[in-house]
Formats: sequence, structure tokens, C-alpha cells
Amino acid sequence: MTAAGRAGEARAGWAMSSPALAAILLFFVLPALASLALSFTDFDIYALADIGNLRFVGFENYERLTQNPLFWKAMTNTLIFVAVGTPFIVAMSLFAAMLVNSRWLKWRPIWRVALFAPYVTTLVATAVVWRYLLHTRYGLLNYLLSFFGVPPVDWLGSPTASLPAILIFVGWKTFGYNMIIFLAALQTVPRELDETARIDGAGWFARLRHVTLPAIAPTLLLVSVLTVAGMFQLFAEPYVMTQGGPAQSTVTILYFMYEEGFKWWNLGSGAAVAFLLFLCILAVTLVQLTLAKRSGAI
Amino acid sequence: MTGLSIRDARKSFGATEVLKGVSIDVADGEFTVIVGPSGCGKSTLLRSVAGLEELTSGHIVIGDRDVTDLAPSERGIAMVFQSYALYPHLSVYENMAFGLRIAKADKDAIDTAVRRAATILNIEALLERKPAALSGGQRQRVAIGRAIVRQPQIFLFDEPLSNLDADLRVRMRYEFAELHRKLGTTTLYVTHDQVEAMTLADRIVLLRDGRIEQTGSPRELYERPANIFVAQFLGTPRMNIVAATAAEDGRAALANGLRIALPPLAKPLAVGTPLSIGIRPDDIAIGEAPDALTFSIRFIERLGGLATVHLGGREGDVMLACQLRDDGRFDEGDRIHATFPPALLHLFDADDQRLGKIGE
Repeated sequence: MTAAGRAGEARAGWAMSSPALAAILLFFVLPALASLALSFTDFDIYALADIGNLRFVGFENYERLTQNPLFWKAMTNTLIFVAVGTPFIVAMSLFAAMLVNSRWLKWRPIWRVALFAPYVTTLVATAVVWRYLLHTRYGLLNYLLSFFGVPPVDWLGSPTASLPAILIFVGWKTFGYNMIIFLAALQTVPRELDETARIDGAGWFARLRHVTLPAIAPTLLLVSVLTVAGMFQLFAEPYVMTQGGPAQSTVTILYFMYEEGFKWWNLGSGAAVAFLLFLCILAVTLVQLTLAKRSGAI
Repeated sequence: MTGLSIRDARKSFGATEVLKGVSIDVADGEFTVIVGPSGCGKSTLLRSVAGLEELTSGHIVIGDRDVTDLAPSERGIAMVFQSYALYPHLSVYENMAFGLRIAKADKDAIDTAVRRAATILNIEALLERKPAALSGGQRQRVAIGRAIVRQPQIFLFDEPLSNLDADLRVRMRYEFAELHRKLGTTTLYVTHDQVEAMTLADRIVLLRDGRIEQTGSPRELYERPANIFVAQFLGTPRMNIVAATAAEDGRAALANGLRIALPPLAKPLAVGTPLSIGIRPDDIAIGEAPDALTFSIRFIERLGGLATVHLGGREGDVMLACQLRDDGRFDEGDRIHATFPPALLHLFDADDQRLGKIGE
């Protein structure tokens, strides 16, 4: 190809991708930069009324955050959600996908739909149902636990039980989405590999470890990254179920940001929280990528 | 070493019966090839022997053990798949060692077994590589190596050469034969390729629609096919089959009125009995002879040394393929004289079954 031809092709490429790039720039990059800029100001309800009230405050928002115990509480809660919720949800999704993928399961399409349904159901509606399931006196969960001699748990009213309760709800709500991704990956694992392992005498767990997991490693990474990002951004579930309570035991970082920004109208401070959240997600994702590269998954 | 016995194996998937009562005895150390067209049930049969499919009824006996209900790993078999099925994240060494590691074998024993198999297959230099860095032929060798390491009583091969290019297939075919001579392990080998079956097998089992059509040595099947299906399945180009009726003087009348001499049959045919006459393309004799028939050459497929010449009868209702040395003597449109040596004819009755010649 001639140099002119190449340049023409490049121009055509840019022309065709520019609408998408423009949308990304307008709706993603610019707001992100604006929010970063906002985090260095005292943008609040007064600045909304008159932009003249806006002042540049440097790192003051960040400094104040580090001195706010609720910020650290929210950070801790979020990290618990990430650290406990991610493996819990990934394992649950993978297990469900393997179940739905197994040859002996009957009515597989029905199972697929049933397990995927929570993901596409309205959060508020399901939250109402779950409030009943988690009810101290009439809840199904406590009823089931009573068979094992466990006394009734005040799931949404006790500061120690509320976080696990939200976690169970979040897990139930989101695992279907991951399950579908895993299912797609599992269906690409050559059946002969599994059969060879069976002939080699590998049991269920050895086949999972040596055949299935290595074969779906890239998908496992993708799902983990998505789940970590989702856990960091947990908001609607605690908002609907517990409003961050009791005793702020379910305040997540995003819930804290929402309160800073839209309850107290400290939008500058809220923007600072958002930026810190972005840094957290970026850092954890980079760690995941490094680990995955080192283990040869990608 | 151990033999294998499949007894009245039946297998259905839903309403579809794939194996309809197959019984095979493979002698100790024998190389048996199961061959047949796609969908005849040969892979299902092999997978049932491996324990990867459960038989609907019937038994599988390896040595003197009924293994019908045993797990694949307990049957003393090793299987090589068409797709090689190597663990992609493990090195060649680890792939070959996998089974023994699972069985918690001693490290030194594993190492000895892997290196011994690698030496047999000439893949010592590849041991540290990952499967992705190997060629098709090398992968196939590793898959065989993995099977050897298990020191099985029976080797099972499921179309192991089908993913290789033609050149490599020929070479690997030779290596398979060589390997079997060296190891002497009882082998069950599935293929749809009749050339593989003819060249490798001590014994061929020809399957069609879940039933055995014929079992025997390659020579037996080629020289005395039990029916028209077997006759046409083995040999390229395939055997010519011409409809005819029995006539007087031990002759047969073809549809266009031509008459040819038949070999003496064990049970003579009544005049007018319909039959099919088969002759292999390389058994047709070309040249002037007292009872030669005249044909015209419709089409020539030149293969280099040989040519397949398609002959048409006078009225054009008999088409025959004939294999000749391609020395440039013939051209399309030429007229040619052909004779059918009676001793080389195969006769089949109206149900396509072989009519035995005297002495068969």
C-alpha cells in the first residue's frame, strides 16, 4: 500500500470511530475530569446557586475525609464487601454455571432462566421480598436455621448480622449474570479434556483444578474484575434494605459519597470520595491483572 | 497382556438406537480396527469400552474382568482422541505424567515412565514445551506417549490421524504399526478411513448402522466381502456392481443384453435368478480376447502412474470404472475391449449377500 493509501485508510478509520470516541469523551472522560477538578473545590449548594461562591481549596476535601471516622467506616465496610463478597459471588456463580452445564441436569433451559432471573428483576421489588425472607420472626432463613438449632437472627437490625445479610442479598441478585458468562466459557472447554482426565483417574475436584479452571482462567479473571468493581460500587442494596444502618454497619463508600454529595450537598467532598474510589478500583484491578499474568492465565 | 470381549453391546440415545447388539472378541495383542461410515456407531462403541458412555445393555470384558460398570480409570485402558486432548497449561512432561501423579505414583517411577515413553516416541527434546508450541504430529505423539505411560492393557484410538495432513498421516500410520510391533498391546482403533483400516489392522470390524457387517482380516474382507456394502466400502476406486440375471451355460446376462461367464458357484443358480456382479477396477482385463466386450471411454481420471478409466457400455446403461497404468494409450472417446476374468468376479444375490464360489 502506498503512503497516501495508508493515510487515507487511517483517515477513514478515525472518521468511523469518531462518533463513538466523541460519545466516550463527552459522557465519560469529561465528567470524570470535571469530577476530579471538582474535588479540589468547595462546590456545594451555594455554588449551585451562584458559581461565584466556588472556591479552590486544594487537598482540603481529601484531608477532611481522612479525618472523618464515617469515611473510614465506609471504607472498611466496602473492603469487607470486596474481600468476602467477591470470592463468595464468583464461587457461587461458577458452581451454578457448572451445575447448569452438567449433562445429567434435566430441563437445563429452565434452570438457566430461573437462576438468571434475579439479575434482571427490579432491585426494590426483590428487596421487599428479601426483607420478608430475612425477617426475624417470620423469615424463611431463620426458619431454616432453626432446624440446626440456631436461635433467630435479627438480620437487618443487628450491626453484626446486617453486613452478611446484605452480602447474601447481593450475591443472590448478581450471581446469575456471572453464571451466564461462566456458562459461555464452560461450553468452550473441550469435552475430550475432561474425559481424558477421567480416564487418567482424576476425580471431580482434580478435574476442576487441572482442566476446567485453567481452561476458563481468562473468564475467571474477567468475572473477578467485574465483581470487584461491582462490590466497590455497592449502593442500591444497602440504600434500599438498611439505609446504611444499623449503626452505620452497612454504609459503603458509594453510600457515603451519595450522602456527602446529595444529602449534605458537599459536592466537592463527594467528588473527592469518587476519585478515591476510582483509585481503589484501579489499584485492585492492576493487582488482579499482575497476579493473572504471573500465573499464566492471560 | 489381555484380550477384550464386547458382548451384545447395545446403546440408545433417547429413541435412537446407535449400537444394535455388537459382539467383538479382540485377542491378546491384536490390532483391531473398527471402520465404517459416519454415524455407524464406531465412536460410541469405543467410548463405551472406555467407560465414557454407559451401555444400555451388554457387557465389556477386559482380560477376565467384567468392566461394564467400572469407572474409566479402573478399566486398564488408555485412549487417544482425534483432538489429542492435551492439557494446554501443562508441559509435555506434565501431560504425560498427569495420570501417574493423580494415582500418587512415586516421583522416580513417574520420571522413568515418562522418559521411557518419550524415548519410544522420539519426543525427548519436547518434554519442556507446552502443547501450543507443538506441531500436529508432535501433539499426536505426545497424546500417544501419555497413553503409553499409563501402561494400559488396552489401547483405544479414536480417529487419531484424522486431524493430520495427508503426508503426515502416512508417516504416522507407519509409526502406529511400528509402535504396535514394539509394545504388542491389545489395540482397538476406530477410523472412517478404509486405507488406515487395511494397512494397520490384524482384523477389521466393519460397522454399519450399529451392526457388524463383517469381521475378518483385511485380506478376507477385500477378497471375500460378505455383501455389497463391504465390497464397496473397501478398495479405491470402489468395486463395480452390475445388475444381471443368471443365464444358461454358467453365464449371466447384463441389462443391455451382453453376456459374461460366471465362476462356478457352490450352489448353482436357476436361469433367470436376479443377481449383482461385482468386479474391482483393477481386475478388469483390457485388450483383445475371444470373449471381450467393447466399451467406449467416457472419462479418464489421470493420477500420475495410474488412471481410472470410466467405461460406458454400447447402449450407455452399464458404467464401469477400471484402473489401468496410464501410459498414454487411451483417450476419452476411444473404444476399448475389456474382459472380466470369471475367477475375479464377486456375485451377490438379490439381498446383496455374497454367493459363495466353489472352494470358498
